[in-house]
Amino acid sequence: MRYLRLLVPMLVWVIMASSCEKDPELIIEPDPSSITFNIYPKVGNQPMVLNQEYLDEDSYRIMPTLFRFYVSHLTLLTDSGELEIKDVALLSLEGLASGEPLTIEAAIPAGNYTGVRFWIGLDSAQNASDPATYAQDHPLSAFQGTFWTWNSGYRFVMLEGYYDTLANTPGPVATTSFFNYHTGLNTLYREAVLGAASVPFSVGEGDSYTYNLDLDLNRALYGSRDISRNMGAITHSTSNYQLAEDFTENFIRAFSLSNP
Amino acid sequence: MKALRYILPLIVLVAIMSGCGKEPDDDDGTKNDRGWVYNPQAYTVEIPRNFPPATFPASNPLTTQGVQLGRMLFYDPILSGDSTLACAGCHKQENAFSDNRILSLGIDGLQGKRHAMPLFNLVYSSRFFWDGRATDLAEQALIPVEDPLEMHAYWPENIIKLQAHKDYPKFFYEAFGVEPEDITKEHAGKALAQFMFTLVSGRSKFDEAVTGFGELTDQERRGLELFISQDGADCFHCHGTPNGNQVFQELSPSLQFRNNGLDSFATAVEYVDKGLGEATGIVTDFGKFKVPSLRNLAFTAPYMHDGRFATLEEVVDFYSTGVHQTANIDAGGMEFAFQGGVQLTPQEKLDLIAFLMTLTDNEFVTDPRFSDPFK
Repeated sequence: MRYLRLLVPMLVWVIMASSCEKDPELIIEPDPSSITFNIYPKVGNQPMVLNQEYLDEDSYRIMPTLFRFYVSHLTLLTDSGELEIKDVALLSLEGLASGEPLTIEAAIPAGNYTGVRFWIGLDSAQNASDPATYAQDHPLSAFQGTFWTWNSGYRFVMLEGYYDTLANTPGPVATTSFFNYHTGLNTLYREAVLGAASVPFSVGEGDSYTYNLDLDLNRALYGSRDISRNMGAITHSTSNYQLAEDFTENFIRAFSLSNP
Repeated sequence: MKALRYILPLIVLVAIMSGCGKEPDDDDGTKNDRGWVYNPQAYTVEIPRNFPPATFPASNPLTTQGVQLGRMLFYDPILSGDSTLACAGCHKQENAFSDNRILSLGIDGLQGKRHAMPLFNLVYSSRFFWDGRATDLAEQALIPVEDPLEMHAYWPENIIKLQAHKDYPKFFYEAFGVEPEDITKEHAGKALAQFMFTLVSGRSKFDEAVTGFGELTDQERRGLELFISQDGADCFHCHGTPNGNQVFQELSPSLQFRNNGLDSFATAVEYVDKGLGEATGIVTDFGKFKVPSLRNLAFTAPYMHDGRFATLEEVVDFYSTGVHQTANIDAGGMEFAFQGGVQLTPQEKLDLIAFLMTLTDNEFVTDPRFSDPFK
């Protein structure tokens, strides 16, 4: 009997202890280091937002209504090699307030970096993806509205809007005249030409580093190749390929270090 | 000692039951004082395999009980001001949950402002109504109920009617675990949304063809080529591509709304029906409307937001030669507006329509899961 008096409470305690879920062990890990790429869309020196009029470099009124593009294989350069930190991101100006940047965030190891590189558009494997296989919020999902046809894959850059066909026209921009630059096709996949925009930086353990870039619409339209007026205002790459190529060549050179 | 033989297992049992964090709900659910049971069972919507993965809102998980309640509310005129008009009165299954009237009639005999939209594959939409003013289907479901041109009811009164009903209080409890006094219009909206989310249409001839279970005819194939060709009918810019994915409507939230040049206005402020612009207030959105799915066109006439075209032939004629280069004309998809449209030949028009008819899902309009539960 005495034995049982001890045994019963012990048994109860053992059952209670073992039938409950165990608390997980608390493991404290240091915060990872991270980087945020801010890309500030601008028209010249003005912050750029959709559905707002701007006077472009040639004094034509222009109103972008849609602007989205893919950045792929965002890579950090080091003395010993390269580290890809984001395979694909879709950046869009929709919902962006004036002065707000487009952002790409990624966790990175602490260390010294000698620069960055990235590509505009999708590589041939990404471009051959089936958008139906991706969840809605994935950059390559059909829901992003960037997939075109099975022949040409995705649209790499989509820039649409209205413009005046004459310079120095008074009044609001005529929304009956529109431009539409849709670049795609594997042959228009290009690395962004950053030049002085690719600068060395260091990131400490647990630190967040911010890399600021400007993206200037004027440079995309009036860069090394002047595409704004003389080649028509519409390309889907499969049509008016030269315009698509010229726009692409300008676009990849439209990034610079940000001067807020 | 003998007594201990019984006491010991009893103590052990009590210890097991009381030792852990309490789980009041077991597999039989929660029963209230009225004897009603709240034990919702997850409802799985069958998504056709050529459709993209569907993400249902986490704020309104589909349950068998919720879907069934929503189906009853959808078909029950109880939600209208005079209890004569149900949602299904203007969203008829035989019309792919659209209305064959140009403009539907509300309980006061007044016409609605726009043609009733068909209802299917709504999980792929993120904005509802022709003008996109609702961003949540459960929110959308509440609006026509109070619209003076439609069901012209008052939600607080509807809640009283539902609370006093002989069956609904129990059904609300079974679906949401709410006592009668706690029923809200949000519960009704969620139930209606759950039912509408189940309205999936993906069993057309085209679906069979893309999944390898059927073939298109030569004429239908020619129509498909026109559909996806920029130099043909150029439909794909707004209606998506038939890579088995886009369900023939533009899915990207920003691209769901377009101005297709139905009317001719020199400036955006001239639009009488401002469409998306009414919801956003953005001038460049004036005259934009939701791009509708091209599925089930055989059932959804008349066409366009105002039902101005009685037949598909009229629609194709419009896109061929009737497009206006109007203010806010869509910059992404209406590039042939400058010449009035895509200029199809008579044969091309026939081919295109033949293809569009392959998007007809006959099973959908007779599917008993979606039919009137009171019949």
